[in-house]
Amino acid sequence: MSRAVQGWALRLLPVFAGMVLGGALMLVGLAQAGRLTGKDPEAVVALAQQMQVVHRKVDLQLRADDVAGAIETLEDARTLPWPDHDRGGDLGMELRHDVYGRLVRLRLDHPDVDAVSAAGLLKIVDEGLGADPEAVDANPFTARLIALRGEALEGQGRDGEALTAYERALDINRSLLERELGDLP
Amino acid sequence: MSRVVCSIATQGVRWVSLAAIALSACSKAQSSTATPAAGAAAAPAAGMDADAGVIQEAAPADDGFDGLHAKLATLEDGLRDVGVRVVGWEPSDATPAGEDPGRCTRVCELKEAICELEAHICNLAETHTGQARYAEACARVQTDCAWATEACDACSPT
Repeated sequence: MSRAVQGWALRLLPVFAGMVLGGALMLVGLAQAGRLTGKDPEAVVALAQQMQVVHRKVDLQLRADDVAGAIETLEDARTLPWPDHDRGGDLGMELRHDVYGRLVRLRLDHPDVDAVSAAGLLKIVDEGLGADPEAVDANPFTARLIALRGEALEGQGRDGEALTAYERALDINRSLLERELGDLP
Repeated sequence: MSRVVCSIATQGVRWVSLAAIALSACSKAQSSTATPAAGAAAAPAAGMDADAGVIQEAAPADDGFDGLHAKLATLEDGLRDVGVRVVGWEPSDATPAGEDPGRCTRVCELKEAICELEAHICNLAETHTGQARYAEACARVQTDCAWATEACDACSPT
């Protein structure tokens, strides 16, 4: 091996090390933060990166007033193989609730774009919340999706159930605020 | 050759950025909260946002992380040596140690969420006049909204 090639190899060593350490740090960081509690942390990190791209795309589409495109992008995200709570942990569920919340908010704000029925909207919300949303640690994404469930129920005239959903969302938001203000550990 | 080097260097920057995101996730988790980022969109979104401001957050004072920070700094120096402009975590003089610069944003976003719920619940209470459950829920959320507004106002920079 020539000296020039050896020199390049030595100079590129930190780059390769940075790549490896960067990926490892993301995993370690999230794990230390207690955010990777599922059985498949690598899949959740990949999902988080994928969702970042989805949200950026939706940002751009909305900036261009392309609501239909944004809804389509988020509908496509629905078809992803989302991990359940057991596999993806709280972080996997939060990512899912964030995307579904954004989709449902857009659908509620723009009912004429790619219209779905009130029942269809509720189905999307319930699909996003999954089997046991109560098992997910308190977070603003789940709170928002539960509040949106209230709006979807209200749209169907199911006011009693809507109030229950709003109160549940309120409980979560209150506990989050208490944590922020240091009233809770 | 130079094209290959550039490509690899770009990948390196990306991975270092990912590392910074991971570190910021840890400092976020100290408050046990993930907050939807307010964006230009009609709805808040993007839980794993990697905005530059997030990367500026103070890191927890943990021996393990100090070590990782040191390693990361060394690797970033290596990247700079090969001509890569590294955008990563830098200590911020503007943020006192131990203070979370995103806290006020989160508190005020929670206030927005709570007061939005107040609108929904109290609208329902108006529709169901005379029904105690709705009236009580409305009174309760009004108290919560006032409390959250007070917390946000107290927290907001003057």
